[in-house]
Amino acid sequence: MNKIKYLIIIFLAGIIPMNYSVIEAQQNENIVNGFIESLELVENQINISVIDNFGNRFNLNIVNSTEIGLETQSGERWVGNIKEDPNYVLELLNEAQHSLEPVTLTHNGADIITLVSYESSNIKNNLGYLAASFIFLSILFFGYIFIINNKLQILSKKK
Amino acid sequence: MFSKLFTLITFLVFIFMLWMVFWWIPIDISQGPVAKTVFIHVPLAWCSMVAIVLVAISSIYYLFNKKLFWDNLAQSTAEVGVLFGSLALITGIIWAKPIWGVWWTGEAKLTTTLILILIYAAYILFRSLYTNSMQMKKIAAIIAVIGAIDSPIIYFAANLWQEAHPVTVIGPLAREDSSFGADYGITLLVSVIAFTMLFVILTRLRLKILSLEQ
Repeated sequence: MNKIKYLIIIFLAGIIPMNYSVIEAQQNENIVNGFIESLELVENQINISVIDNFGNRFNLNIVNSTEIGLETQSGERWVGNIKEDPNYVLELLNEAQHSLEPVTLTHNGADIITLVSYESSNIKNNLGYLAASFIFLSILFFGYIFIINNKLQILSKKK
Repeated sequence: MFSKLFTLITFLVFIFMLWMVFWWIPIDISQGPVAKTVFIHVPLAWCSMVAIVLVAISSIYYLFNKKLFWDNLAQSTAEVGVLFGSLALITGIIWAKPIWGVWWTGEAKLTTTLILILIYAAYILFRSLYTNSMQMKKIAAIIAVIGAIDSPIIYFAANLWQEAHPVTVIGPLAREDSSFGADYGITLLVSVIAFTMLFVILTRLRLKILSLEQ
């Protein structure tokens, strides 16, 4: 029983600080996953309308401070903001709209803080995450089976 | 004899499940290989939910008839349920990183699941820290029943708050347009059966230890 008690304490000690730090980082930000419905360049900002998977429409603005990460037609990644070249950003967003590329953005009010498009090259190479899940699963299951089996043997010997 | 046969069948079902997951099912076009995490994440979450329901039912039975068997069943399912729930949470966190871009979002489904695990971890700690008296068992049973209130909230959370976690795709709340394809559905069913069988074996082992201790 002591071993299980210590395992639980180690698990709680690890998970609680991780949870707190990440929740605080998300304050004042909303995440939207969806597709671009329309785009309009107005002076120094781009008005963008995004529809999420549930059909909710978000009318937001890409401003000078918005951090953008978009995939170009050649499959390379462009990272920057509209201060650099508003027309080029609009062109990339138009490509993303017409190829129905999923976009993920964070916003505070109507202003977008970050906007990134689907990164196909990374998505295809995520086998490591699947392996990590199976490794965690095996370690915890075999660890638990080892502990209870050990205990069962000790108790059986005592009897 | 029966338990050995059951363990052997579970082992064979697991081998068959792994073959389906890694060789039979094609790689998902939008999420890549990591989408196959569904075949461990969903069964683990399912088993942890079953465990919590069992803990609550056996605790209620114990409160009414004071039979030691129900208290032992509650204790063993709580322990195995925490193991399965923690693994469901860990695999979900690993899955979220490449798909959502973050390890943790603090949304309703994830937060309520974490709360549930913490409640049952506290339940196990409480039981191990205090002497094995009738009063301790009664208090533990009450904690277990109160903790179980969180389980329907977890089940409905994705549909009620609709954040990054996908809505329910199987069961009474499933939407027709979001159902799995046949191959993914069959593989998921096999993996749910395999993990449920493993859950039964582990709970039975834990129950045996408790009865030997007493």
